[in-house]
This record gives sequence, structure tokens and C-alpha cells, in this order.
Amino acid sequence: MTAGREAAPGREAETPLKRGQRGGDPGKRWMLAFQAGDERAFDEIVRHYHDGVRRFVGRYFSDPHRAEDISQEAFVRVYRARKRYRPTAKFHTWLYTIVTRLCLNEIRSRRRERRAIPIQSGVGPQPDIAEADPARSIPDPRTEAPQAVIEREELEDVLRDAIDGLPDNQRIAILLLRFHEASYREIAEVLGISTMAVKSLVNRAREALRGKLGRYRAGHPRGA
Amino acid sequence: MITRNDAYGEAGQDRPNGPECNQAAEWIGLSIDGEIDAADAAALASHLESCDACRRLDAEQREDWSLLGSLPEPPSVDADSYVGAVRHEIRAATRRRIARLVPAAAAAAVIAVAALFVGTRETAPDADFLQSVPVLVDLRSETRDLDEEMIGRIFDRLDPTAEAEPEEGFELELFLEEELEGTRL
Repeated sequence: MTAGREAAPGREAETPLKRGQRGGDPGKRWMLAFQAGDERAFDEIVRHYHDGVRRFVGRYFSDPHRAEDISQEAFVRVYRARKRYRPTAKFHTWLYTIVTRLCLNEIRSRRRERRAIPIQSGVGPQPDIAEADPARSIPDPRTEAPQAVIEREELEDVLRDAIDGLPDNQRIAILLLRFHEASYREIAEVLGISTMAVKSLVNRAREALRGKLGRYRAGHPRGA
Repeated sequence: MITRNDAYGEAGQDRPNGPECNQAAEWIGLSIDGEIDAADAAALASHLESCDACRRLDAEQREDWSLLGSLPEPPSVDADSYVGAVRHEIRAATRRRIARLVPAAAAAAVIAVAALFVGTRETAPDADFLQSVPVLVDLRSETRDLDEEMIGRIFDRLDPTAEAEPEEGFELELFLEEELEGTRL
């Protein structure tokens, strides 16, 4: 994260990932302590980073159950990888490399599963649990007016469709940029590509989003 | 580099003013992402003052970025509960891995115990030692009482990649370390 960056509209003042970087990369210190046998250091890592990981994965997948499984699996991988951890990069970059690989693996595995479904069975690809979960669309009347609920859900659906429609790497780049204030360089490290490639990814993603969100914007002019 | 049509729409509306607008479109993205340097930011600001199309593009892209912030996120959970859940998942994952690897690991361990015996003892094994073999190889049993040093020596004799799971990249040696350390959870 670069000091003096322009404040983008709608960006949170501080993300969980940003908090993780204050104090000279505490994750790195905890990981080294964990490597040296301090089990409590692992708990600190989970305590400190779970929020950011859950939010990232929760936005990556629309199925909340799958997202929770993958978030927890990320920390299981951290636990198992402690002996191999080398403090060459920022801890959160290493952590998000694990997280994004899990996301990509999950997506690929799902695609394989879908391809493997025999056509003769008449069983098509199953919708995400979240999509089929009626509880997801029930507004909370205690906190929101029905019209507001409808509008919020419409926007959420548009955003979800827009994000889901992005190629995997573009989706990762956009989520890291928008919600975790990652720099191009950090995204490049996470994805294992050059910063120029990240720039190109982000540009393409932004244009794809502009096309999809443009239709929403047209129907919801500002100030209307 | 994004193209003019990318940045300004396929329909060609708001056709920009040439290369300057292409550059501005790129700068707008960099600006939103906090990746623009001061000189380019100043040049962008200057261009936006005189170009309606780029001003519109800038406003739309910033609005999109703002809208994106409405993407729902999972509800917060209690940190200590989450730590407990992760610890539980580590134990469960460990059990699953043990269950998957037991047949191969047990066979390998028997061979390794024999190798260990040959390498370290000059006399026939005593009954106690032989009785310990099933305990050593039954990785599904409670591992709390296993002799870690003994297990370590056994598996030092094994090819560490022999039972690796390529798709996960975990070596058997590391796996066993984890299983043993997992007993402290």
C-alpha cells in the first residue's frame, strides 16, 4: 500500500488487511514465532486475519457455506505450511497467495465436477446454495423498508453477476484492489504475474464491470 | 494499454479527442487504484477540465467503483470462536488425511521398522519392541502416546516423496510431523 495514494470513492478508511500491516507486519512475527513452536502465535494469526480472509472469499463466492469452508481451509494450509514459510514477502501477501490459490482450485474443481455430470442423467449443474437459499432473499423488516430491501438486493444481484462474470484473475485483482487496498505490486505477487499484467487485468476488469454496471446506472440515475 | 473503444464504449458515443483521451482513460484507472504519480495526476486533472467525454468516463468509473463497495460481505464472527473453528478443522483435516494414508503409511512403517531394527540392533528384537510395531503403524489410533522420536526415525528411513500427494504438495514426512504435532491441539 502506497503512502499518499489518492482516496478512491467508497473505499474504507482501513481494511482488516491494512490493519494487519500496521506495526511492522505482525503476521510475519507471529508466523516466525509459530514456526519456533509457539502455538498461540497461530491463534493470533487467525484472530488478526480471519476477517479479511472471510470477506475476500465471501465476495469471491456467492455460496456462503463454500466461502466459509475455503476461508477455514486457508488457515489450515497456513498451519501446515509453517515449516516451509520463509519471511521473504509480507505475511499478508503470502496468506492471500494461499487464499487465491484455494479459490482458483475450488473454481476449477467445480468446473470439472460440472463437466463430469452425465448428460443422460438429466441432471444439470446445480445452483449455488446461496442462490437457492430462500433465507438469503428475506428482508429484515426490523431494519429496512421493503422498497429499500428490494433495491439493495437488486444492486447486490447486479454486482454479484458482474463480479461472477469476470475471469478468475480479474476477479481476484478487482477484489484485492477494491476491498483490501492491495497495490498492483502486491496483486502481482499474489497472482505470480508482472505489475504490467496486473494493470492490464484491472483495465479489462474495469471495462467489463462498466458495461454491466452501466445498465444498472442507466436505470438508477444519481439523485433519482 | 486500453483502446479508445474499450474506454469509451462500443457504440462510439462520446468519441474522445484522440491519443490524449486514450492516455486519460488509462490514468483514470490508475487514479482510482491509487497507482498514479503526481505528474500524471496533474496532467489528468488538466485534461478533464477540457474534455467532457473523459470527465463522464471518470465519473462513471468512480461511481462503478463506489457501487462495487455494496457487494455483500459475510457477517462478522467472534474471533475466538473462529479460532476454535479453525482448530477443529485442523483436527478434522488431520483425521481425514490419516484415514487416507493409513494403508500406505502402515505398510511403509512396517518396512521401515524392519529397516530400523536391522540398522540399530544386532540382536533379535525383544517382545516389547515387536508389540510396539502395531501401535506405531496404527496411525488411526490415539496418537497421543506415540513415541515421536521413534516415528521420526522410522520415517527418516523412508523416501519422503514416496507417499506424497502431488495435488496437495505435502510430503509424507511433513505430514507425519503435522499429525504428531496435531496431538497437542
